Amino acid sequence: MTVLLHAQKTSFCIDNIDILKDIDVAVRAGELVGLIGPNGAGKSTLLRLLCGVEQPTRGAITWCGEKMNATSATKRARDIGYLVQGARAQWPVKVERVVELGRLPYQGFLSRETQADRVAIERAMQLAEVVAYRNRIATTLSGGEQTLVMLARIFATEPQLICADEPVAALDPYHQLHVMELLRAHAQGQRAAVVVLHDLGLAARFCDRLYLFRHGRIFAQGTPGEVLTQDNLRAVYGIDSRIDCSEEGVSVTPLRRMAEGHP
Amino acid sequence: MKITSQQAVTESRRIVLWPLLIGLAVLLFIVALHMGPAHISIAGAMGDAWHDRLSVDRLIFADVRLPRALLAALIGATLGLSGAALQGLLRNPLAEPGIIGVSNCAALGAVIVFYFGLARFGWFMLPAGGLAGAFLSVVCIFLLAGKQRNVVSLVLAGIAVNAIAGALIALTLNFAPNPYAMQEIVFWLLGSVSNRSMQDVWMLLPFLAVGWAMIFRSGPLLDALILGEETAHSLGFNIARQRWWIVLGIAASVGAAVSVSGNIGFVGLVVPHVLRPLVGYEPRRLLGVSAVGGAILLMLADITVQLLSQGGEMKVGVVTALVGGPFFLYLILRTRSYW
Repeated sequence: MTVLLHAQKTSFCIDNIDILKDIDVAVRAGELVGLIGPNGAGKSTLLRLLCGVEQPTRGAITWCGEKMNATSATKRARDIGYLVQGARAQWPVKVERVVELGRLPYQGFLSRETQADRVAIERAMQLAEVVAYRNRIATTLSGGEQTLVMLARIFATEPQLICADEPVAALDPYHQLHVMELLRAHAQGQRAAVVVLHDLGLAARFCDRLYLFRHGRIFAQGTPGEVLTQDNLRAVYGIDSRIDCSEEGVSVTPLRRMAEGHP
Repeated sequence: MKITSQQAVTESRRIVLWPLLIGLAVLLFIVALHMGPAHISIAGAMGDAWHDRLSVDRLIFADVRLPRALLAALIGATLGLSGAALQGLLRNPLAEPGIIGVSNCAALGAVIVFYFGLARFGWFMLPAGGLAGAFLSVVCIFLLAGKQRNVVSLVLAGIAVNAIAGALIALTLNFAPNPYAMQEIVFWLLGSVSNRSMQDVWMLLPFLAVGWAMIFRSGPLLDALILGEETAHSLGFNIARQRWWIVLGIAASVGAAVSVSGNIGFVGLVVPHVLRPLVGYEPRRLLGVSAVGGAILLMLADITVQLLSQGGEMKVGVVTALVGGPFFLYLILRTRSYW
């Protein structure tokens, strides 16, 4: 499988404090990669580096074999979609308009909406199942619906890679599954997705590979079965947990905090 | 089929709005040309100008009526446009050049040029003073309010900048060489487009052209900002750079406008707010209509001033402030849930 995105020896510092240190991450075509770890472990920061919104302090990130900082902003915007954590529309515009904004990387200052734009927008709305409320005002929708609208906006861009930052936080189980299924369906063929998750069960169920972060470093990586072990969770999260393997995949049940406190 | 009919409704609303605004603006412009104590024939005056005949009508038309109407339209458009741009940039319906201190700082710059007699160095000194003041204020506000989309910090920064500019203007007045100079500055500060000449219009135009172009150029960014700064960045927009384009555009156009008219507040607040629902809350589409809407509002205000005041004339800036102040309060009450 071809490596689409590759971060090598990547570090990110703010005020000389290492947020991320010597990270090696590879995302291959057809993969759904999960980034997990406690709050403040650097997952979101890494995601921002991976989609080119932030530049690493040291190390290099390559996108399709090309240095990320040498890639033009337009190409980057077309190839990589970034779903911000808790993304919400900031003006009360229509859902359809929000989805249309996904076509901005294809439009010049004076160019009007082309047939290709329209097709992509309609397809994106159908994919994310937001067609029913295309004419509603985005800010009046429920949290789950708004997340789907934001996902539709990313689909409209037709990116090769989707980077999603906690897309299922604060969603009910139905919408959590819906969002994860959409990301799973996206990560096929030459496309891929990277997703930051707190729900270890969903991470185990949907992701091909996981990276477990602790204090800005990768603590463990591999398939969900390899990463989600009792020892790893104890060392990283400071919790005792029960891990069951069944036909539906790995399921994680956090049981209690450890006596030693947070690691 | 359902989709196309809904799109058709949106399209038709767009199609109606523009001719309506343009028609209203043209109508008010013609009415404005007819306002004034002397009864002159506008058609006759224009005919005289065309055939290069000297007449009283032509002089009144060219030296009094035309510059006044043009300045009302141009300055109103600038205020409406920059209000819409600033609100789009900060995603905040309370942002306005007057409220966050841009106008006052531009006025300070112009007052300093007046006061120290710097105008003798060239016609461009006055707008340059206004521009420098406006620019400084916007930079201060950005440094104070930072990147956050926080209404409170923005308004507080605006209050601080406004207060400093007000204090410095007061200082200048304090040391005014004589009561007449002081009165002149105070009246100028109140904001008016009367007793100006075509020279002011020509002086204003290049700054407006550059400022407006910079603001309109940023339209796509304002639309992308519907999704927030991070997402706009991921859509390929260089926020840090394009933000400066808007800020410089506002500084150039508002700075120059204030240096001609003095302080005319609240146009940039009221106009985008009224028109925003009519363009589906889309920041980019709001720019053009707010420019025309601003022109309409200021021409209307200036016509009202001329109708109301006999003898000692009321300043148009006083009228917009009288109407705009309560409107600002109403807006704060309405948008409270928003922050």
